[in-house]
Amino acid sequence: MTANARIREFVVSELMWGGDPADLGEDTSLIDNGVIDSLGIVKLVLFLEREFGIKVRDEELSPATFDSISSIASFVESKAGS
Amino acid sequence: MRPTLLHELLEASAARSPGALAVVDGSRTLTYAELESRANRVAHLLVDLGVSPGDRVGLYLEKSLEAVVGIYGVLKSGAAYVPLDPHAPPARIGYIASDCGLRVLLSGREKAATLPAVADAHRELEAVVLLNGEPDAEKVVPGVRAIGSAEEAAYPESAPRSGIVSLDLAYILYTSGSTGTPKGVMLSHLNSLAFVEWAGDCVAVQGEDRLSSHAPLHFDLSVFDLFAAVRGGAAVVLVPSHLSAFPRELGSFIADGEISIWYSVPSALTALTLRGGLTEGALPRLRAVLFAGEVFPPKHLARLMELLPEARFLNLFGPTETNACTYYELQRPLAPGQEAIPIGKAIDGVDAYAILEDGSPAATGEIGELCVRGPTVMQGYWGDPDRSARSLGAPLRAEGLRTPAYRTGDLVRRDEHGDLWFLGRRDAQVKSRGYRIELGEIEATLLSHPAVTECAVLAVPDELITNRIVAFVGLEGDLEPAELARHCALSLPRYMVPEIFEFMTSLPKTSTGKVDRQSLLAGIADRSER
Repeated sequence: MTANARIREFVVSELMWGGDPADLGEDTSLIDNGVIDSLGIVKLVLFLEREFGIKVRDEELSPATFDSISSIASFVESKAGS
Repeated sequence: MRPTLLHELLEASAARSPGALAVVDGSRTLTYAELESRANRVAHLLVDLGVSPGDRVGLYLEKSLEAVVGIYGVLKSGAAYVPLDPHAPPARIGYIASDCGLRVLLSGREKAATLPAVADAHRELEAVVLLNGEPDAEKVVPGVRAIGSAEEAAYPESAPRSGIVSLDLAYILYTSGSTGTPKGVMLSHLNSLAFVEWAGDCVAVQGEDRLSSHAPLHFDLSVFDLFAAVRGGAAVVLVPSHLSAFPRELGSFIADGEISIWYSVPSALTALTLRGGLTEGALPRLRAVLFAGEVFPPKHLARLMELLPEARFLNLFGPTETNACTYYELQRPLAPGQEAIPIGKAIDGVDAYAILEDGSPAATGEIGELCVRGPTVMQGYWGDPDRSARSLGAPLRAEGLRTPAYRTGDLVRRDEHGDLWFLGRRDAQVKSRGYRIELGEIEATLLSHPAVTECAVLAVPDELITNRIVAFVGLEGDLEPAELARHCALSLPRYMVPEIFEFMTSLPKTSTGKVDRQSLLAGIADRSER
């Protein structure tokens, strides 16, 4: 499974994407849809660290990086490759 | 002249300092003169739509300049505003709209996708006023009149006179209800003003101040942000809701926004303390930090007080039904190892006392239920006179007293200095990230799923967000946790959807046949230690 697909699955099953899963696109804003909130971000970071073996630093938590499946996946790939 | 209605605070500040900043929403701002004239136009428009004193008007849009305009517009029309959580499921919005009979919604273009579902759940909706643009022709809801900003702009900017008095309702705030549906807490202009005037004086809000607006508008903390700022002629700076997820950005926002008075739930401040990257003295403009809604873990509070060496810290306490009823100003330094902080003493003009099980007053040191009397106490629950009478029927301190007292359900103890300490709840109400949650409402929602035979929803204490919600569910047949989560998300706001679902063939019972919550909780504690 690609990083995008794994992140997508996590958003749907664990972060309670409220709408129809078909409406969740690669670039759908997770922030505007209320999926990334103070609790969602903590769960997501734990998931990314466990699933992809990366370490997310506090200063890397920015709305631009964590707004969509594709931006999160790019972040993960840049971390894994570094 | 002393104000007796909330919107008179705005009229006074607009007359005194028309050019001063009233609201800041990112790069967009409103001066006091602009806020006053736009709110007046909205009020005239509402009156034209048939809204009259005593009516309720819903607010269904993201927090924005327009939302603030809408609130004052509704008040000026003589109606009460009902702030709806813009992210709540449409079915829940529809329930609330039907419960308090909303005929008109003030909304925004960003809600176009969910408005049809709301209108479907609430067939009595007559008109939607978009405060930030024009309705899309293809998204018009059948049978509902859609009005855009251009039409609003045609109304006069003079202040309408509605003839309401200070005892009339100003707003209804819906909160979680233990029987499975939300309940509407009715607050009058006087109820709100009694708190706002006290709080504004306590913190000495002035024209140079910039107040944060962190809480959502359907949350009672927003009352301070909206009205204490306007009373003082200060600017209210709207905090984007997603910043709570990004503590570093939140820290920069407070610095760049030159916030001088901050008010929020402690969990937002805990995140800022632990992950905000703040250095000591980094926020020199921040002179007062107010918090309410849940317990602030003292070790994080102590650290934040070190990071903000010049700021005052105030713990405000009180359910929505009482505004704030007690407060405690922190003394520096916090004692090392201090495990709790008091909720303090009653605010001005309010009587806060504890009663024992038999209704007699609790003595100093005794644990009792907190009861509150005074001008900040609500008028009751909308459409529910029985529940209102029960809640406002607390035993009084003396026979001759006439003003009713509200039973909070909070257990407190008064110490030898006269300060109250919060010890817990008498019932199954819990807090998570400051939100008030009735576990019974979540259980009722779970039981409405055909595959669920029994369930128990528990709050597991958590240092960062006060409580995490865990559901233990007995099932008949097959079900995925995600499917049950989606079922909950159809009628509950996100913060009430359980984080973890534990499926069991049957739930453990006590000898009396009740679900054994203690053993379920103990099971969670065991696992988290492993």
